[in-house]
Amino acid sequence: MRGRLLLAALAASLVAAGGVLAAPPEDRLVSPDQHSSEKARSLAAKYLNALRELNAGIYHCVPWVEIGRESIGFFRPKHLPGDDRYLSLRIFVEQDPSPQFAALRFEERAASMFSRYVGGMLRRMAAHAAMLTDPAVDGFTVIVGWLKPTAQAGAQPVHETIAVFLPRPVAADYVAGRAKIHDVAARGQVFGYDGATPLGQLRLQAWEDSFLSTYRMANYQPDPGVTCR
Amino acid sequence: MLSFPRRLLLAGAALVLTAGCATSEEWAIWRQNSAHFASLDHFKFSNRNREGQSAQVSRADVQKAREQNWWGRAITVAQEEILER
Repeated sequence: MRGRLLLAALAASLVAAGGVLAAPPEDRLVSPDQHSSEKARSLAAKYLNALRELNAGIYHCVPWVEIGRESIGFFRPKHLPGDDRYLSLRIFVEQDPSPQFAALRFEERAASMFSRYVGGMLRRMAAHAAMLTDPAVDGFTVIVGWLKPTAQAGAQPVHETIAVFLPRPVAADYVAGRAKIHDVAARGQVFGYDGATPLGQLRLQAWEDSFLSTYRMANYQPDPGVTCR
Repeated sequence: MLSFPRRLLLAGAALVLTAGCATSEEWAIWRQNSAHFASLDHFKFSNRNREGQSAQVSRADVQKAREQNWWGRAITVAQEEILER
């Protein structure tokens, strides 16, 4: 009897340890109290579980995408006046070097990455439907970075980045199927960066790309108990 | 002038001293590729997955690879340039 109890306790502790190991790093989120305005703190507290689910979903199901520290939160886009608060997500995409990708101009690489990641990430961000009707949520920001393919071998790596700002009605239209991704690119604001150098606002021609919903990383096994859709 | 047996002994000693050791050129190449087995975890991962076998990649493997920062710090735009808390 005592042996069985001991075994049960050991099994329970292993399950608990497994649960802890499977959790994504919490520091990817900006904690509610670290936001600079009451509006932002209130939003971050209200949607804390939704942000955790967003973090966990990307962590387990899109493992080639990295979320850095404090990359998810209700940030204020710096180019907008007032205290507009956008649910913001910054990701870095790790991908194999590709001569075809490297041969594109920056705007074309930016359009490719927009087409591949912005729609899919937006759907994940808006999975908690209440955000799409909450007037306190002014919009959504998706920042996508990738390794600049034309950098010299052996030199310090350089990231290229696009920052995409979408007012809430644009995001709501896209998630509801009333707008296509090329409409999103046209109605939103996109800014480009080469390393730390701003390249200004971009006009991107985006297209539907099913990569995120169809690609499976070779031999990758999600942690036990994780289901990816 | 060294006798033939002495020369043979010296050559043998030199052979023993250099056998199994990398030359300075080899070490230079290895140093340039310090990403190889940057840590014990990476070694375990590489050792577990051998050519000809189906590799098993867990989420923990992906995370460890990133934390070891194999490719160095990149030049990128600071988040504070785009967003404010």
